[in-house]
Amino acid sequence: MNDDLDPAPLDPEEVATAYVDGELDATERARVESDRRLRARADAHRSVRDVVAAPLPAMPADVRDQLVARALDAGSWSSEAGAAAGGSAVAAAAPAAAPAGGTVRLLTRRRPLLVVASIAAAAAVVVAAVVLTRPDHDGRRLTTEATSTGTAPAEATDASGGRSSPGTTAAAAPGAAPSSGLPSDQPAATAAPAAPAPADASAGSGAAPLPDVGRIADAGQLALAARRLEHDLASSATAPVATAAVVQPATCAGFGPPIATATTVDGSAGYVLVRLGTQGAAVALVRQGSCTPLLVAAVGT
Amino acid sequence: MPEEASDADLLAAARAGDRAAMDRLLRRHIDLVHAVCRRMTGNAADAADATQEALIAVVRGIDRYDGRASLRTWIYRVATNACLDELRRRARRPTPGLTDELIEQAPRAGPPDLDATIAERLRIDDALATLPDTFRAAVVLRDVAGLDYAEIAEVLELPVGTVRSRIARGRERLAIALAGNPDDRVERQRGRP
Repeated sequence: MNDDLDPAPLDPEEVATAYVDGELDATERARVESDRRLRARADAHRSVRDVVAAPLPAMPADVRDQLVARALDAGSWSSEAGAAAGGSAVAAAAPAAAPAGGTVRLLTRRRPLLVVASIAAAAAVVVAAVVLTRPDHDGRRLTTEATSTGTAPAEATDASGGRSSPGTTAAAAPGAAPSSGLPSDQPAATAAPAAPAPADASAGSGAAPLPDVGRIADAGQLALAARRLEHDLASSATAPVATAAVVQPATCAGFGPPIATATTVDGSAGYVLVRLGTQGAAVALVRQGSCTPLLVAAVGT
Repeated sequence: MPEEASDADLLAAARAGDRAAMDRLLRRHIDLVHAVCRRMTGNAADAADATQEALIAVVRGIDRYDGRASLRTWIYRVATNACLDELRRRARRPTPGLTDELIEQAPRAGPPDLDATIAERLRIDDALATLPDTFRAAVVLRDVAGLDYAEIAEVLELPVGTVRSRIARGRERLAIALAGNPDDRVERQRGRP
């Protein structure tokens, strides 16, 4: 073994990135500063670092309060004990929901409370994402082309196995939330948390219920409904909230939580989801309790 | 407890059963935990889930914290594990039908007029989603949480050299993704590195 051997030189990319992060000693720094190629690589790494470090929107205060309160309730600090120990107002106000058995109702998408927060976030996204009505720079409106996926009829027929529609039509009262129940194809693991009282979803939020856009015949109507939602959300002071068993939304990977309920012409009840990409938005109507698409509309290049 | 109480003071009080101290400890770190989770998961809903899991793990594990790492490092370790768990759960979620192919079948209109801030945020999320989870964790802990390489090594339980390598490789890939062909960025499925 030759102890005089120098350690293997660092990869130039590693040197450049470590330089940006201030992780090099003086000798190594000098090496970078005297090497044009390494400086260029360091600049590239710095640019990436600055992009990733870009600030994110602050977490809403009410979401922060609920996350903290739920975490405390999950530990050995009950709300009552917290109050006795001089707990904060937030802690004292935390829902006395910590089950005695130690089971915690998480503030997650699989439980109604997170849906409140998620939808509030989704509402903001939708305003930007549902680009269907924004005038372009020439003052013209973007043309929305939407299409049925072709799978809708078959899926709609199958929907009898899902949660049955109340049979209402497009005239169904706006703002109506899904009435009740879970779809038969809802996995037990995700269905279980839906049991908490619907009141959880809107408690203290002062938010409006998840809107119902009525009966949707095809993807064109789905896109149109999204346009209306954009206007409704933009003009509403409060975010829509799922007041019933909205438990599956985030299981549809890539899509946000539901922004509305809708019904297909043959009575299949679904949720309207939005997926936002850098080049456009996709709007989907999925059968309640699953990610099965009933209709999909897309906008973008 | 004074407003400027140290983490150590709050920790001691929390361990003694002071809910208010635990409350303050969580609030002191929640924003950075959430920011890490937001960048790790790529969307607000999963980030809130992971943050919730992380806070619960902190509360439940506070008595097991042995002080070998700083409290901040320990909290980041818990949070990173919660984020990685969330990503694993997400990978297992069903996505029947709603495939990229299905959506791409639909004809599209012109480019959307996205708010520039939101578009940029999505661009970053899309780029980060191209990284393997382990690379993303190293980059996010450095660039979002501001941890140094030694701290990241502690959080991820890796040698410092591996951390440096992952950050370098991660940034290389991000540079390509951020500068890449716009067509490659179209509606990339979240959580699919």
